Amino acid sequence: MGIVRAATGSDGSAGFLGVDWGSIAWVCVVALVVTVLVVTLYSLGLRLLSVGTERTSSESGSEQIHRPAIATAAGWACIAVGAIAVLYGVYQVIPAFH
Amino acid sequence: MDILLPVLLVVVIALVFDFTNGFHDTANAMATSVATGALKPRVAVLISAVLNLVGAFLSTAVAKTVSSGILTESAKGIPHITTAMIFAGVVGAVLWNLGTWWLGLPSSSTHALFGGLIGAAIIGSGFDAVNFAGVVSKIVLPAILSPFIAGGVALIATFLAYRITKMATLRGTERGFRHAQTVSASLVSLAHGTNDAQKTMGVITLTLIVAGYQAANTGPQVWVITACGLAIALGTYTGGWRIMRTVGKRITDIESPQGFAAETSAASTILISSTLGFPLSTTQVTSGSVVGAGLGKKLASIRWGVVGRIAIAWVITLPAAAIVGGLAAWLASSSTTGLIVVAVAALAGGIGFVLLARRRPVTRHNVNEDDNARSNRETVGAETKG
Repeated sequence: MGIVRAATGSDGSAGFLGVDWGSIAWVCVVALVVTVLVVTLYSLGLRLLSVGTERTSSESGSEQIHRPAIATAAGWACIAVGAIAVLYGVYQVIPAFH
Repeated sequence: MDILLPVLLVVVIALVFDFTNGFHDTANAMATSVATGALKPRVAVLISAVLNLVGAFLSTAVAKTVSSGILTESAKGIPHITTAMIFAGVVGAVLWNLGTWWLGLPSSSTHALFGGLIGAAIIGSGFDAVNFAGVVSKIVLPAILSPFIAGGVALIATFLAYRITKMATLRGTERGFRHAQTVSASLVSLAHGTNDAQKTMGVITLTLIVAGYQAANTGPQVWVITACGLAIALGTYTGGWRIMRTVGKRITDIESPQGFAAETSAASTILISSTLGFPLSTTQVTSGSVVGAGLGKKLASIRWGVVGRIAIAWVITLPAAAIVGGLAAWLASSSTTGLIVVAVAALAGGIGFVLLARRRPVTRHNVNEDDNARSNRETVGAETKG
């Protein structure tokens, strides 16, 4: 319930210059955390999935992939966690679900 | 004056505004995806239109801010404004939106709308009619800060994405980011629906409250939500290739990791703001995040001249729309004839801009064309004619 609850909690509490700074700061923090989390996880996933493909393609010209199973699993896990984070975020902003 | 006619006029002009908002702002969601080739233009606008419609139904916090946060209210909770003034304000917004669309400037439809309303309220009822504390807290500050927030977040995310993937030179990363862009662009469209479609709903709801058809301090009705969602979706599908070219190509040459970072940043900023009821300008947030994504890779690749033109358009949008809205309000409030004159002027102005834009069309076929000579010539032409 994090996002929605915190938002209503800081609503109406007008501070300096009659501005609700708490809500604006909240936008800043949540946007930063969510974006960095999703982009980092996805990039990590792509990097892990590219393990073992660098040398093979440039030197011998072959398209074969020599990727350890652990890298494949971890790569997809990163992408999956990122996707779950996005879905959870969308779930949070839809009032009909609460 | 008869009540029903002005109310109907407001509903019609508000839906027209929503439609222009749709084709004005398609650029925001889909520009970077179309620019990097992640999505075909036709597919991009179709996805965007559907998600705009879905977004319109998700959250109505912003609509409530518009209908009960900008104008001061009487003891009964009725805002100090008449339907004729609201109509005039929206006319100001539509004319400004079409003008900036013709010039290819991603100016804010939101500010045009609020500027028009504020101008109309000041001319019609005096300075007391505007809740300036509410305007500063809920519109001006979020408007100033949001592009910087989205830009800063996009900068950090872009930097990390390039760092982690060794400047996206690893095999499969370029394609991987393009797939991710399909999702992130869709989220921006969804966010657009939760914020921009709401503004029109807010205006129609405000009108219904003022005219006494709806209780004060209540949210938009279902037919209002549906009509606004459909209008913005239709506008989106019709497509705003002109502004898409400015955002996607002229500010900086966007690569897929940058597009992904910029879109994720824009979507999260808009969605969280919608939840809190801040009517952000989606245009400004997206432009800010595109600039941030450009800086995240290399400082020099931003075309600051283009950014400067966009920034100037941002600054003058609210006051300019306020003046047009104020003039229209003065005319529309005087008599029914005045109201009709404003309606005809809006129609004529709208058709005029569309005809002007037809002379040098930007379509889905040349949306990614970035010939500097051509764009310079367009800029000069636009300035001399405008």
